[in-house]
Amino acid sequence: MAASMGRGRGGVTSFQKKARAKTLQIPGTRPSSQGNQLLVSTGVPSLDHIIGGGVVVGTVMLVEEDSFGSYARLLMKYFMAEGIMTHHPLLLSSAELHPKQLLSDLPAPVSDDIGKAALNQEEVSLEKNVQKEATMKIAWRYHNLRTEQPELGAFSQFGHYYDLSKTMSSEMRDTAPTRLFYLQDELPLEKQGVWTSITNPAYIKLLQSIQDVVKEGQFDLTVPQPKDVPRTVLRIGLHSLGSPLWGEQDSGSSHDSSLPHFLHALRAVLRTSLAACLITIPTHLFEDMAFTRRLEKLCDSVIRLESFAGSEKEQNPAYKDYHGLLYIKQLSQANCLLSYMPDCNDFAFKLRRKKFAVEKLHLPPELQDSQQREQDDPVAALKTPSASCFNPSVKSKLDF
Amino acid sequence: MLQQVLEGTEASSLVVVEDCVEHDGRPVLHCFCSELSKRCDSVHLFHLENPAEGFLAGANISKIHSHDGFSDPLRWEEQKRDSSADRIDLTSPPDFLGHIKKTPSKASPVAVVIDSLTPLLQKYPGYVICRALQRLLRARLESDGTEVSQVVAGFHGDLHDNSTAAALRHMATTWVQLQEGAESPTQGGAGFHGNCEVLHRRKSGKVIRQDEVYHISPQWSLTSRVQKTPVRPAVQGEQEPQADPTANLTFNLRLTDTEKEARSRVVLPYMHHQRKRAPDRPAATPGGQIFYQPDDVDDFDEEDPDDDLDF
Repeated sequence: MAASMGRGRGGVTSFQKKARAKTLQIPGTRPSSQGNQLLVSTGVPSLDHIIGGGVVVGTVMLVEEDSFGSYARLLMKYFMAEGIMTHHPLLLSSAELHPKQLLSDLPAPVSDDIGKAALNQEEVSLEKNVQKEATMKIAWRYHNLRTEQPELGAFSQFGHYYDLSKTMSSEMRDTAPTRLFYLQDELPLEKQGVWTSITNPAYIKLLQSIQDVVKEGQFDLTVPQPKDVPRTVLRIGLHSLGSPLWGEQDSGSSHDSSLPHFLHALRAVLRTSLAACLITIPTHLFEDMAFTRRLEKLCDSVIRLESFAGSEKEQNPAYKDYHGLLYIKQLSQANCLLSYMPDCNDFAFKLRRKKFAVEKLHLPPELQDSQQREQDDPVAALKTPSASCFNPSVKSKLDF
Repeated sequence: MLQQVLEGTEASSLVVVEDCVEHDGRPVLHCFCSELSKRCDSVHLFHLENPAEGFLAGANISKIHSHDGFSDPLRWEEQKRDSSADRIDLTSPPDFLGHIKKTPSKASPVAVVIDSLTPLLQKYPGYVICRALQRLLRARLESDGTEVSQVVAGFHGDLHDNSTAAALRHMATTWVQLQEGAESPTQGGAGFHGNCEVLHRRKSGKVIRQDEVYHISPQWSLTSRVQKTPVRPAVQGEQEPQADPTANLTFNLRLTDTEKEARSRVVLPYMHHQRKRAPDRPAATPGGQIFYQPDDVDDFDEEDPDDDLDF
């Protein structure tokens, strides 16, 4: 990739290489520790922390949506809001909601450090009020240690904090040039018939639109640019791609390969341009797991959201603090041999009134032995794998 | 919840009633039809599986426009066609909004009841139906501005695979699944009743899932009641009384109150240092600090700290 190591704004080190390499200093990005990469923030600092610092410029990040799509939409809003704060141009596409509707509901940024600290403080004090701290008699050395876990990514200066209870003002929103792609406008619904060809015209139009924006906005790295033009990174957000409104037909056995073609072509466009892309796909609608795997392999970083809303996991006491689970399926491996390895693999997210945060999933401690038998304890049921002779939910004659 | 959606207290733009062989969804659709004719200015009924008369009893007929998809959907009797009535053709992709726009009276807001999506889903792929429904829901954004306030559709769960159901569930704001419970709907003077599970998604993002029992009176009004799920006995049943370890012993293990108080005042060996510091303020440097207090026998010699030189 032609984007060589540069010192991003809010730089971490004052080290400067002696070589006369072209340093690309783009506001809102920072160099990655993994390789010769530039990273942009997703807008949620805790999510940035677990995927290795942010989304690598030139790659595609796939978010597999939860059952009702609300948290994936929230992540898309954070991504766009971050783009506006760092003055990156945006390209947003959607089929169900008009992109203007998504953009009108972006979270407002918390303006300064005092505000940020106040945001964190409010959450912490809410939790502390629940239990009074008893002075410990025997383990008194632990009395001075903090009880709450430090928030992931709290110490990095990359990424902004947002307040979900307020929306971003329209003047701030207008500062970043945005390009919208609403499927209903580009391909009017009444003219859409049954698509029998292998290539879905909706994806072709979307790809054309992305290529046009990349060329016009001079994000293409293969074309030499004059030195005085300031470079910036384009943020592409494709909301709910692959939903039935995009013509994705799931006949149970096979999908046509338009969406994999599109993702392949998208990656080719992105690799040679200064752009980062976030796609959300409702993969829970696809019955064929192999199709989902193909889509995952064609994207660089993949995370999956699973929300507890409306499912039986909502009542599980182990999950009572969280609103859903987050699985990291794949991390970007562009230009390096090994991707970033997170130290743990169980993450959960919670949506508070003002903030969306990702945390490590901790099972609560088993303090009482009120559950006499382990199969009655839902917490223990999480730990034991289901491939055992005890199956607590189904009583089969083979249980012993 | 079903009653609230029916009456309009819970706003829901797309309601899908999924029924099965044992539990027919037509009475519920009929109730929706009659209730919507009271609430909205105009109701468009697309009946594809049953004749319109089955839905019109007890409703305000002047407000209901029926679009006939039942009599001759595949255009076999082209000559005998009555061109005045509006008919739905299954030979071309479904276009609900187009049919609505063709009706002469332009009343707004409009409610739509679709008897069943099954004949359409059998002819066309799922995404075509989703697109037609989406167009109905977004009708407000089109140029002539008809506003569709609510769409109610019937769906036969037994006839379609899970992926089609999943795609529709993704779009629907309320999904009513009629269940084959022990109480199947009985006809007769008492009306209909049965079990259902309602999954309702509010605009704020909150999802509510409830098991309910509904009852339809002979005048086609629906009442529903939440049915509490039986509590799982294993988790919340009464616990066995804990065996008291201090009973039935030849020696005394119990403590009197004064003894308990004296026990709490005993200074344990490692507690001693705590008295010296203020325990409430967290330490500036987390971690331990070492306080060394030499004993009487400690002979701390600077020149020979290990005390092993032997001259």
